Amino acid sequence: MKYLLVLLPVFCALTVNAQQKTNSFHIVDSATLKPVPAVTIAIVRAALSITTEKDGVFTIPGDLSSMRDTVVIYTQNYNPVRMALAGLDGRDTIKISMQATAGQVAKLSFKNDTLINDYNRFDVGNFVGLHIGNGEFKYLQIAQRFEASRAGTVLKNVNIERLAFYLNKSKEVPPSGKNGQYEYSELEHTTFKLRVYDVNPVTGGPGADLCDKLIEIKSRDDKKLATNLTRYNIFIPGKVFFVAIEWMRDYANMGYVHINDKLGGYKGHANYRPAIGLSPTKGDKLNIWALNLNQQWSLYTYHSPDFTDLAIKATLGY
Amino acid sequence: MTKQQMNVKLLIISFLLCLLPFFLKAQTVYEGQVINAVTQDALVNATVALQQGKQATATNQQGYFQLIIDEKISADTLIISFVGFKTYRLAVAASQQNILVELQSQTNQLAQVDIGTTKAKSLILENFNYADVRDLRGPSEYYATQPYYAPLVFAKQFETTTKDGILTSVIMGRRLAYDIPYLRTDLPKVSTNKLTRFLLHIMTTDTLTGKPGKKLFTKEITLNDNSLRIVIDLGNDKIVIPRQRFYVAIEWIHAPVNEVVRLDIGEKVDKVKKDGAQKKLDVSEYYIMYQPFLVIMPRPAKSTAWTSYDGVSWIKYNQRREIALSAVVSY
Repeated sequence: MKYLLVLLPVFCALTVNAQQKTNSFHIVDSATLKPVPAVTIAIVRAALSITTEKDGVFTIPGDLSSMRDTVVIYTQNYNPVRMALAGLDGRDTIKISMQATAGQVAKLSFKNDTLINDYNRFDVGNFVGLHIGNGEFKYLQIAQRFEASRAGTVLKNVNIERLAFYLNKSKEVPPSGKNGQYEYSELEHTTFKLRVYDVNPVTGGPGADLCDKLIEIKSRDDKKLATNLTRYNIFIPGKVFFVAIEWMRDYANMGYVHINDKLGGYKGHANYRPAIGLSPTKGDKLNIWALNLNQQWSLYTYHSPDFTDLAIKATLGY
Repeated sequence: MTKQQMNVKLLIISFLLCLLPFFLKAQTVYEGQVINAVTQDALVNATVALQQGKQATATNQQGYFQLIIDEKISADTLIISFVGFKTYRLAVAASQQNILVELQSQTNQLAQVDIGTTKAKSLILENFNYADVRDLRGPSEYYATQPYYAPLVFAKQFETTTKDGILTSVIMGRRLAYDIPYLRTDLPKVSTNKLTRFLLHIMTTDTLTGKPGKKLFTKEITLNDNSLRIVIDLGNDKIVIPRQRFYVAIEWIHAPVNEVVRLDIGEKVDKVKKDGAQKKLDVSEYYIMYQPFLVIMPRPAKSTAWTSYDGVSWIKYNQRREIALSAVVSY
């Protein structure tokens, strides 16, 4: 997976030497100099993106000094780094600095609950995260805008619908290459990060993080992802907030999507789980936002006007 | 085993038994369509209920119902009733994913429709019985019932015995993706999507070639449920059929709203052992398909159908099969 960027030279239209140079980078915390895990590296113009493993290492093949593109390096709680790809030439370490956090919030407790953005989960049949038109799905995050009836609540729980099928767990193939035996079937695994944002007063889209802790959701056995968030103590100051899925574009989440053209041919590309359901309940305005490779949020219009919301429901305490 | 070990074992078993109801609690969905066995018309507001449970629902304009039960049940009976028709009972254990229920009239008289007493006469052209055709299989069935393996437009010719008839409705036999025979498996291989949108065209017959000619009428049709026998009501559209022969065409829309995801499986190497043996993982390969999926059936001798990839040039459709499509004309 770290070598997915092998395609980069093709997009950059460069002359590549017969013996290709490989450039490896370590992403470390600028204060502790320890590796930062699960960092997303996006090459903007080439529209490529990966997420590193725990060691914070990634590799780009080719002559970096002649590549004309921009790289954006970011992860939760750190200041994003945006620089010319050529600027990485000769380096092996990239330091990223932690954002200042608001500090610990006192334990929040509320007596009543309210559920917002409810839907019939059996009617969820359309999904975000597979493709855009005939091309790859090129967003890093997808967010649902919520509007509570009151300000000053706590986010207690979210339910997310995802697309998942049963796959065989693993297969042992002997050195002879003959067919091996499958183990049992199980639902497709997925791991992703959950983000909670305040509203950006300028754009109306996602703004500051409302939770500085890493919320990593792993699912192995359900299409409905019910996540209890009470231990994160997420206070929602205003009425509007966002819950986002941040894809981990790594080996474990990778599959493929094939889209057919009008003449019956299929075109395939890599795809990262989970695909997120769209709510069958249509609202009067679009509430879905997406974060592109250049770290910009915009309204997600691909499934519009048929769908206005993601199949994500939230329980608030007040 | 010591007494203490026995007690610990019993404690664990008791704990697991206490948890059992939580694991067993799961929602179950029963859905289907209720139609008149003789006329094949949808029965609107038929009652669908569980005999022992308290849940009940009514069918919609297409005769479709969906009953969601907050638990997994195995020993109850679905009761489907409608005034003037014999009540239908089905053990839930025998219920399939999407059932077609044909209710029988209680009297023979009710089963007959005397169109002679009405001012306008109605004719169903190329009529089909959904229950007879839904399970028909063909070697190329998968390719024929969805674009773009199949073409963008499918047009079927109808012939009336009179001029200036009015087209009052079109009847379409639909499949759900998971009901396509090769996708019927214990574990789902395809997603379900209740929303379907397509274009319906009424076209003339080209006098020189016999192919579909000019478009007389076009309407975008949206389906919001999983009903199987679809009646597209055109009563308010006043479509006069000017010639004795005309075409009804279905045009697929290549849009996200119509998407269904089909699973295919590839492999990726997870680990390689010292002896060279590979541990492989399945990797999902999703294929995007577009609704609606239409039932294919044997072609009557006189039937003519054409397909097109661009809506302009037409190719004669499979000589032995055609898509389940009827037209109702009044005159």
